[in-house]
Amino acid sequence: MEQEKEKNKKGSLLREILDDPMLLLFLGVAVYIIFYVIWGIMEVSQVSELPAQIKQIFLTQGR
Amino acid sequence: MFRKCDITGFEVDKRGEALIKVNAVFAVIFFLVAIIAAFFLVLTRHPTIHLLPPHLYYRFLTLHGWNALLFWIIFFEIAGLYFGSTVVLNSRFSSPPLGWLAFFLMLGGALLINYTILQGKADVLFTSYPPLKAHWLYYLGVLLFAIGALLGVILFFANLVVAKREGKWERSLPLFTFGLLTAAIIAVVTLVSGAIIFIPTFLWSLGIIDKVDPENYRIIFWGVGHPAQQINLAAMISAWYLISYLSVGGITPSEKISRLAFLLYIFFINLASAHHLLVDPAVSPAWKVFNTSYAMYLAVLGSMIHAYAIPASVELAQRKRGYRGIFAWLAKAPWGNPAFSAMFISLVGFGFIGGVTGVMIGKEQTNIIHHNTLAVPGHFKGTVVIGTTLAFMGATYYLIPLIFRRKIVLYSLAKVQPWLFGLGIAILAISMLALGYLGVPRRHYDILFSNAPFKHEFNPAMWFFWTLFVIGGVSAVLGALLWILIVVLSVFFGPKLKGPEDMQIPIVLPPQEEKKNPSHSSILCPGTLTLIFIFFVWFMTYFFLNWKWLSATWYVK
Repeated sequence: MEQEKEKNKKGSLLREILDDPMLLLFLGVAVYIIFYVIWGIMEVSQVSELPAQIKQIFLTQGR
Repeated sequence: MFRKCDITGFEVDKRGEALIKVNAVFAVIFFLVAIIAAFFLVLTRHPTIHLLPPHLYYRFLTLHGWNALLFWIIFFEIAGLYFGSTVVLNSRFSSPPLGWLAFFLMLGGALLINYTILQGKADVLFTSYPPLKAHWLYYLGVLLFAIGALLGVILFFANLVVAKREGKWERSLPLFTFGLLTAAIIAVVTLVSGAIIFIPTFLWSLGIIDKVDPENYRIIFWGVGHPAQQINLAAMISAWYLISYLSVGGITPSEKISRLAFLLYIFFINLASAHHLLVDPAVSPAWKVFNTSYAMYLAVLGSMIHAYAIPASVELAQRKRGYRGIFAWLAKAPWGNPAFSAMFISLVGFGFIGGVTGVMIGKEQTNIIHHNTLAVPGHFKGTVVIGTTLAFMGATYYLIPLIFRRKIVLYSLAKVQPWLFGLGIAILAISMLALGYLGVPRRHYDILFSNAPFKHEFNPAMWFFWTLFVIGGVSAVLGALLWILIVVLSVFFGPKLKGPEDMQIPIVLPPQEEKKNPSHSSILCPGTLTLIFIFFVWFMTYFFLNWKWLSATWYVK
């Protein structure tokens, strides 16, 4: 009985989410911003700058 | 302000209807631009035809990318969002003046982009990766288009709020509108990403800032480029549900599960954008694998649910009408209705070509055998063209009588059009995929490297697929031009629709009672299950083939 009540409760939570366009908008944008944008940009920002000497070698070879 | 539709019974806000019409008409105009460019591209990519010189090839490729992937699709989707949030809910348009502002911003942006491309000031392709730099008017055009589209999406949300306040919907949105809500949420992600990356790029083009970091650009750009195609996905699936409902009275076996599938898109599908950066060394394998091989699979699960639910909706309705056997429901489906045939070809083509190849290209390991080959645009043809474009073409066959209140002109040709376009694109996509597997690079003007100090010998089978490529491409262009002709003649010169008796394609109500066909089987939809089984056999075969080809790429001791 309690399990059934718990199940109904969970079902209603899903329905609450599905029936609230603004909550869906918030969740959709938040998941994307956290896992794709912030995580991705953090990784790129940790890439160290190419040492000037090596950069110069590439630039010279390109000519 | 309202007219009552004598066919559907909907209360239609005339102000919103005008906005639906104008957005749909300009979608078709930009589609025509895309198709003209596509025709030249098909006849240029073939190594022995080479119709255009190199500079015009890259210019037309840029033009085709913007008009096919964004202008045609987004204008049509805005029309769809307005339709789903007003007509379907019997509600009013929240702010028509803002609707017109959104339209003119989008139109101004699109015209500016096309103008700069045709002037030769933006030969940067659709991706416009720095350090490639276009004229500042190009970036201004992108910003205007994005702001206009974002305003259109905000108006969709405003329409929902107004409709709810006025009691037009209470708890749950209709499934079609819920699908469009999914598209709108993905659109917000897309357009916000566009603003984040194109504002600094615009400033860079004006010389106000020194540089735009190429890697940061790539990450955020693919938050625009790929989710833009996921808006299409959600809108396409909404169109499939709508056409199934209108053409056979099809209702999904479980509305809750169908909504859950859309929820999986909202959460996870945008993360799959990471597959565009699978060979970029700046981002870690953890970021790549989480976003593609975990999140993307959850979104694929959503697609699998829809791939079952939509044919099942048709099968259930047909079985209630008494069609027995595994495939009688499909054989007796209304194939003479161009909306239905477009929907079903779109569904099968998207699943068997676009979906399956997307999973293989989006996976880190097997991505490497497709990367920067012609297989990648071959995959697009299986998603955005045979999927979204054909689904939108099908939906138009209902929009012409219901919104434009006109009869469909050249109706007998309209019955053939989805087949001509769908089969043409299928041949084109398959040939591009095969050419990609043979190592033909994408985007490259001269794959034979004429006059180069080195040569690459392709497998001679390549020439067979180049012939198929031209046959498929020309058939698809003819199918698209035929559709444009039918739409233009119908909308501007077609006989006015007097009432339901003038409908050439009927709106079929869901059957109420099952006709003396009690199912002795415990399987709800045996025909759809059989189709799903065939699909899985194909999926598994393709999956193992890709791993086989990957294993042959490098010899490992």
